[in-house]
Amino acid sequence: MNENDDDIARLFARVRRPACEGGRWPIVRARIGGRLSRWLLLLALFPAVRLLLLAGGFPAVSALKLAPLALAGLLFVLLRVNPFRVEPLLAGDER
Amino acid sequence: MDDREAVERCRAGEREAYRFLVERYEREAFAHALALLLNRADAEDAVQDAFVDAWRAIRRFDPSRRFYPWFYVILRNRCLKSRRGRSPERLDDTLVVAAAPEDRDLAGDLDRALRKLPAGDREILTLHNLDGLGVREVAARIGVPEGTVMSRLSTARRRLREQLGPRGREMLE
Repeated sequence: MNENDDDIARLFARVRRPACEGGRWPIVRARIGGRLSRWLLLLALFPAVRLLLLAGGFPAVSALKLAPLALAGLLFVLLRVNPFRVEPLLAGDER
Repeated sequence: MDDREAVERCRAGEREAYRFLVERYEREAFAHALALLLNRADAEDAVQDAFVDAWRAIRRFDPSRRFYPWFYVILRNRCLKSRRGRSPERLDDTLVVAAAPEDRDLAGDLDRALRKLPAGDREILTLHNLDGLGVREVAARIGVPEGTVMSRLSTARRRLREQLGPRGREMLE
């Protein structure tokens, strides 16, 4: 650390982060408890899609025929969230 | 309960144990998200999303490691995703406040200067100077080599000096 870097450190030594509020647990809890309901929703969608197809004049669609559609939906939900994917770094973030 | 025990219990599916981790780190996480996003609502969303992501991934977490550095990677990714395609940042929150009343102007100068920096500069300066993390720890947090951290720190300090107002510059002289 050179002399100038010490100056910056001294500058930061005279400030602190403002106090932040807590209280996020109820929201987080509701959301982490929501996974099962997401699966149930997907299951519920399954016959709903079938009924829609029937109502639209399509011939009876068996559960087996809808399986690829359900699988695609499932993969979309699972692959969309990947918190560990390496994101591009912020170095090029020039404004 | 400590972090390790909480993580072990979370890995066993005990949701209440996660409360301990959320309540322990939510303020720090929010401050970090705010430094990246400069927007209270976006930072709140990023923190909540990151805690949900972390819960879902906690079985893959090695409990012998510290929780927050691992969580920070998730939070940071959430913040970066949130930044994509957004209109210019709204400046509605303070990043730093004076430690003593006589430093109020200085804190104002520093706050304004930090906001004008690219998010990466702001992140590295606050991790190093406000949180007191060493170069190695910063490198681990943001996933780059130590040499890169040093070079980015140097650039960030130069840009900060350029952006400082009169009180801040006075302090540097």
